[in-house]
Amino acid sequence: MLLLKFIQQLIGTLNSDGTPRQVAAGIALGAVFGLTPLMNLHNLVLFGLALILNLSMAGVFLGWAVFVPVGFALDPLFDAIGKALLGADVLRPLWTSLYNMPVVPFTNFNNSVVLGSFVFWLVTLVPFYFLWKWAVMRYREKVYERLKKMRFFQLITASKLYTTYRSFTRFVP
Amino acid sequence: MKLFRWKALIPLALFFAVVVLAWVLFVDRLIKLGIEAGGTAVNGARVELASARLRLFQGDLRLRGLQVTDADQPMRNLFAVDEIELDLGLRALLEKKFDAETVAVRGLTFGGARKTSGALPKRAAKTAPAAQTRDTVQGWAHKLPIPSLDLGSLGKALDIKGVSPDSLQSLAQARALVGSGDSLKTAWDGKLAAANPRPVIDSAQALAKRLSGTDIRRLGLSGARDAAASIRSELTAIKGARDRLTSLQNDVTGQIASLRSRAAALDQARAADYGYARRLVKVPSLDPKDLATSLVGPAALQRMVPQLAYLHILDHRIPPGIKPQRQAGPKRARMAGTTFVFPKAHRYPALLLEFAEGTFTLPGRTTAAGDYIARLTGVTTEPAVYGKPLTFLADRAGAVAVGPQRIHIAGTIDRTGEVPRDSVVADLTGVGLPTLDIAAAGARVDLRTGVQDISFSRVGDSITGRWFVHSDSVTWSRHADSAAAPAASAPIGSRAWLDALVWGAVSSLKDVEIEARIHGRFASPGFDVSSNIGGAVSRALGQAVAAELGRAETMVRAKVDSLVGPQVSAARARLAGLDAGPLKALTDDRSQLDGVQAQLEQRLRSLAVPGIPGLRP
Repeated sequence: MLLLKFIQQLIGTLNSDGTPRQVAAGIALGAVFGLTPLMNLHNLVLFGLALILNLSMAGVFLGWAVFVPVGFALDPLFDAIGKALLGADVLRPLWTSLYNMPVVPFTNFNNSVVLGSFVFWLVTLVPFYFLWKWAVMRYREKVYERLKKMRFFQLITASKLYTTYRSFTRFVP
Repeated sequence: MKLFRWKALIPLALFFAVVVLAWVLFVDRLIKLGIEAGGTAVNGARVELASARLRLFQGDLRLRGLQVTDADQPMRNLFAVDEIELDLGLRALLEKKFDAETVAVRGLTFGGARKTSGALPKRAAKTAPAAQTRDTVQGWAHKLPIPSLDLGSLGKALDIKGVSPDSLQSLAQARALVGSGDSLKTAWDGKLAAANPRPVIDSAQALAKRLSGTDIRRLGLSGARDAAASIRSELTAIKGARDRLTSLQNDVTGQIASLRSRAAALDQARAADYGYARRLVKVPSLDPKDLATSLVGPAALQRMVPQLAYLHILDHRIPPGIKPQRQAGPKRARMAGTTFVFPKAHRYPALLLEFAEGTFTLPGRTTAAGDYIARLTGVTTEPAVYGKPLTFLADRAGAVAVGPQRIHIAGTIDRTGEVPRDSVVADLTGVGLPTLDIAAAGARVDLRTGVQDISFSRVGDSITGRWFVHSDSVTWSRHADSAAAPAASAPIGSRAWLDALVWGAVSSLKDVEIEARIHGRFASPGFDVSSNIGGAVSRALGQAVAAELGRAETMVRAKVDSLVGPQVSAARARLAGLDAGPLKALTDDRSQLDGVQAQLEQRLRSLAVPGIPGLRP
């Protein structure tokens, strides 16, 4: 059921009314919720930003869903990146200032996995945006036309869930 | 395309409203659950809280109905508090830190009964930090050197063959001293040869002899100038030689002084070896201190263990100095990672209780009953950041109706610098004292009421601790098995004989004083006990087995002397050799240099003519 829902979301997002730029920006931003541990202040701020910015909310949710398993899988890498950054002598004054600053500590930046995953997301944000933009365009140009004819695809898109989803995404590009 | 989606402001506001609502609805419950879970994990038994109420903008947190279970007695509370009111610093909260500027504690009671058991499942209780600390400190206490009182060797032939030379401190020290003496002598011989002043002395003496009796008029002006120049050149060479000798002599004198102090320590080491050999062949010591340590040491140590456990906790929980620290990250479905802490001087520490005060009453008519006042300042997880030490004080308040005449507990835990400095003093007069089990003598002493002083002081790695009790109304009782044993027919040295002897010596004591001391390095301190119990037993033992012990002592000393004596003599001979050899040679050479220098200076003065270049005085 979860898998079906995910496939519906994937299809729905890629075919939504949003432009490829909006969908790609949504996915690139939504990736942060999957890559970094969720319960941190920066995610709350970024979620608010996602609501305000004119990008595809469906893309945001898709990015979140796609990058959750990626986040779990890459945790050891994030941990190593975070440890390297937090342990670097040259950056110690910066971390000490941030740690003793109001509000900032609620981001849990001083946890190796949080910082490592956030930095990873930040570094990959722009390349991911362009990559997803290209992928959505290619999908709409080439793949969608072929998929449309497949019985499985028709079944999925005809399902009640998909219909409900479409009725929701009509209001949110 | 527009960058912002303004119509999304409404869902955004709704979203944040939901977040705020969730906070308002659940924060008190989260605080309650957090305190219960954290407290239980640390305590190793249930910590329960009836309610928590946070008024964020007033900076006010009220905790009601706190119960902390005694991990050793799960149906009793370690303590319970009706209400705790904390005045919180909002600025610190914004930095995700906890600063309780003042804490008022009301209705504190100790040791009350619980309605339900506060025990945890066994595994959780065993892995709790408090339980682990108790185990660690108990393990540490068991390693302390407390001699056992064993008189099994009395009345038997002593087997002194077991005294191994390898275990004797004085032998090892004497061997090391001989080695050091030999290597120093070899080194000094080389240096003495290099600094040999003989050529300088010979040359100077030859010049002095050549110039002796010569007259400035026969030498002429130029001859006199040449002679004066030669003398000055020789004097320079003498000064250089003497400087070399002085430096060498200082070196030799210093190292010989060090060897002498090591030689002086040999006597102490030999005394320790006598003690070691005595214990090995089970010859009992009649020293009252040794006997007191054997008899009441284990019980006294148990009274000191809780204080040491607190120090141990502090060592692990409160690291000294301001350094970034690493901790395991929070438990979650994702990898926990490592959380770094970046403390900064004079900012908020992660947890701070600036000032706490509470009054409490111990009800009933027990000896501890009465009103108390307690104050705590500077409780923090990062004392170096806070910059002030933790202080605590508990005193009797009001008139004394029943119970102790004086209770005063005070202390300072200073971890603000790199070197930890802790001190605790407890002065309790008229308190109920414990019953001590003197297992080594099959007896028990109920100290009833009296004076109890506890003090601990710790600077860096070194610790001194004292536990003192005095009571003039003690009562004695015997273990059932000891009382039943037939003492009259028991062979000398047997357990029954010892129990009867100790019982006879101590059972008439009404006035008992015990002083236990811990001293030395924290990791491996020394421990000894003085008590009039030891003195009484020593006298009784001395009367009963004086001849037997004297014979055993002589045998043990002779054995140690036979193993150690030659090596100690060799060490002392080496030392004497160094005094007579290199040191004497250096002294002789220096006096010869002084002599020839005086001769040459006298000749130079006789050649001096004022106003003539090269011959001016």
